[in-house]
Amino acid sequence: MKKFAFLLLFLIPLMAFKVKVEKRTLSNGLEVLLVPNPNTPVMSFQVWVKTGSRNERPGITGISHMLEHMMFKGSKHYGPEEHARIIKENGGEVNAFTAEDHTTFFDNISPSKIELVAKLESDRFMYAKIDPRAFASERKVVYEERLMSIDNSPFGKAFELLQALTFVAHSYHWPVIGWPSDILSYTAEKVRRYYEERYNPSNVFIVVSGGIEPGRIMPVLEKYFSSWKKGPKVPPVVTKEPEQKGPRYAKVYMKVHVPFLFAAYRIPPYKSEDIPALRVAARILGEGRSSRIYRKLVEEKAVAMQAGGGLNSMMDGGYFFAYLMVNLGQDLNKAGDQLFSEIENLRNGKIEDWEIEKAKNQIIASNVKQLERAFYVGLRVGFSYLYTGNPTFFVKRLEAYRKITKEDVKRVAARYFTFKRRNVVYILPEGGEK
Amino acid sequence: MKKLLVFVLFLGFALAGPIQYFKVKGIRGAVVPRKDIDSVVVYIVVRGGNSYDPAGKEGVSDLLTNLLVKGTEKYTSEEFSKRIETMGSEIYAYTDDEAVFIYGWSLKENFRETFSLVADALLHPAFREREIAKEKKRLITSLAQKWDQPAYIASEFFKAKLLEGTPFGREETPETVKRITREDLITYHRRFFNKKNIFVVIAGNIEPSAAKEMVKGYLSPLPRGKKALPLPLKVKTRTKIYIVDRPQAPQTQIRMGYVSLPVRSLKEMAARRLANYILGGGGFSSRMMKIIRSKEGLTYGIYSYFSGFVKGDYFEITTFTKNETVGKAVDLTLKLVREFNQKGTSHEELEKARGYYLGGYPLRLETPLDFAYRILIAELYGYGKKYIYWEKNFIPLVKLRDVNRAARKYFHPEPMLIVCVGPAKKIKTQLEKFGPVKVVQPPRF
Repeated sequence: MKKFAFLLLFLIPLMAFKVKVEKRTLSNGLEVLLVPNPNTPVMSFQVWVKTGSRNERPGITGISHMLEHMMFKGSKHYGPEEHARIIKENGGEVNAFTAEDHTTFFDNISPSKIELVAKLESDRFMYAKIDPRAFASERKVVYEERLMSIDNSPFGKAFELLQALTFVAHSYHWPVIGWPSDILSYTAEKVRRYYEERYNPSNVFIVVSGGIEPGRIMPVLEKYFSSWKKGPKVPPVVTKEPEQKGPRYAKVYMKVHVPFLFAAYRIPPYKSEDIPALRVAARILGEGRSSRIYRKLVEEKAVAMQAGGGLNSMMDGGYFFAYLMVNLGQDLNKAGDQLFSEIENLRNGKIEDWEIEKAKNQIIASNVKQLERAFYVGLRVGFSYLYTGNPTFFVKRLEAYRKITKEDVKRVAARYFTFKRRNVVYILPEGGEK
Repeated sequence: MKKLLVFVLFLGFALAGPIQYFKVKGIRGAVVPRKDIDSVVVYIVVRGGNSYDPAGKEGVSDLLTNLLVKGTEKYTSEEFSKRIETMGSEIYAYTDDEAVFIYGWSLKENFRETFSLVADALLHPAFREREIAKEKKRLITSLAQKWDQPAYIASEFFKAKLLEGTPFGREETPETVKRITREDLITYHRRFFNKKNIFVVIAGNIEPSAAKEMVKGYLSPLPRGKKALPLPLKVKTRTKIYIVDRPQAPQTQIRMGYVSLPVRSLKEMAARRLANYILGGGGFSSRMMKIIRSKEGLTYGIYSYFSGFVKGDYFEITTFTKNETVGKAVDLTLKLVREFNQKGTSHEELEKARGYYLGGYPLRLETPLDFAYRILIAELYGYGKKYIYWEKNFIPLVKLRDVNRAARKYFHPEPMLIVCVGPAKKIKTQLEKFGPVKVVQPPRF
């Protein structure tokens, strides 16, 4: 195995990481992050709201996501879905996504359309219509989305349950889309109140990345957003997930031919200094055909159709997850034991030089690849700012990977990937329960 | 480089250099240089794919594709993966009906090594018996697993029924996969992996001369061979309705469509794409989304599109709804298709669709990978070089009468194959008003 690859990737001055962010503030306090790149013909305009399912409570789970849907149903000057249609008719893409920690709206389009985008976005952020009739129809759409992505999907069901097992006290416990009974219970009025309380410049920031001229953008944003009044901040989430003292298991019987399991080990918040070592550990264990889990279960033992893992890092904590789909006729429990041995042995066994090399290089390379698109540049800046207050934190963090040693990986594995912290969801064929 | 043929096509925006088409040692391809990024991608298309699998051994192409990255004569599967991933590079291979695709991506510093591994996979796959046995097991399991996912079942069953009796409608089953031998893989590889049958695109931060030198250096041992001829798509759709029964499913997946007449020119393709955007391809701008999702709240999404083969294509509508509203969703969808066929569209709708394609093509060609894929598609389907910027070249030429002609010719409510995956007990009576319904039980594995 060649030794130069590791050195090369960290020593070469990569263009992708020369991300320059200009932070500006409008007269009403609304923060704007500009990330110009003269080499792309694309602009990504992103509005980040610092509220997501993390900021909900039982009874209104999924309301952030429901509101995201209602943001497309018209505003003072535009009818239902008109915003989306106008962006498309101008060659752009428009969409939004809700997650645990945030709700993000984006328009990917030619930079020449900045005025149009600012006009459309400011209208819905300042004057969204949350009309009861439109709400009634959209609630049905959201319910269909839930059926499609969770209730009628073995993978969706498994992930929902895995997160619920991993977080029992913190609001990461419930799914972003919400529990079915909550989706059916909240009213247009409740959603409107949520909008009025949270969607204001105190809880929002804008990221504009791509082929933009900052000098041209700011007057446009000032024109359309500066009359938006500041409001209260989203109340802090104070609940901390208690230490897990033993493994948790769940079994779900569904109409499946291929049984599988998802497992999770809770990890600290995104900002934690342990995250770089955990990400390297996750790469060694579960990412790619040369990862330990794949080599052991798919290649060496040939018991799995697919197996691997990854890291989901969030504001108040996240998890390392692993998955295992056994080949027909194989015993899921037995294969599961092999999977858990691989994970939990990382702290004891020998870590090869090439494994560390690989993990670090994969992290660098995957960042380079993502940053070729204006949209992902915007997302990386947005996540960094949301989680740390520093929009280029992700570039700084790349430096931290450079210093990770085998001992660091073993240390975090010993701390987080333990039997007591294990959470497992088994998806099993119907009939097996009898 | 005596045989080098260079065709230069200047790009519409400044960030990428001109596309240089070449022929090196009998291998055709293209280079798209771009200096402002750190990576290079190689994307290779090999004509062949699932539809060329030997009868009774459906799955050869899939199995072969999986095995391309599972070891070569020089490296074991594990060594091969280690070499790629230690550089942070990626190599994937996949197959569709008419081609095998191999893709390699890396930082520019590692591109030569990555390219050499792509070439090694392409030229010298080992097809070791142990790896074949493992991959067969995995493939059979993946066939079973598809039946656990309603959206997959719907799409696969729809396609199999629609194209039944053609090379594109043959089904891969555990039995056909079990019959495949190492000899079948070697025969398939010998038949399709040759100079005449591949096309190579290299895009990113690389000098064109260096790219061509790599093609020459690593791929020239390929045999000369023959170009695979495209297979015909000769089948007529009849109105039929199938339910794949999933008694406990809370929601029904729906697919509707038919084998379409082929388009004869890129201008006609542009007219049909504009028409499809208006009817069902334009997201929130489409008539289907406006009615079925926004007005009626019946679904989270409904889309229509044409899936192409070299010698024909088919039209497909995809959606899902709760079991109680299946009949209503199908009924409204058919009404929209009928109305579109009979009345066509308006200037206003056309200009909005035109705006989408004309304003949006830079987004669709943002990265070297986007370029590489589009060049491969142009080559595979014989669209020619003008396809790279088809939006700019053809969308402005389309008139309202062209779109209305396309609406009459390519969009019709009958005949229509309808496939629903959901609980037969709850949805059968809702579907019977559209024609006789056949209930099918999923296979056992």
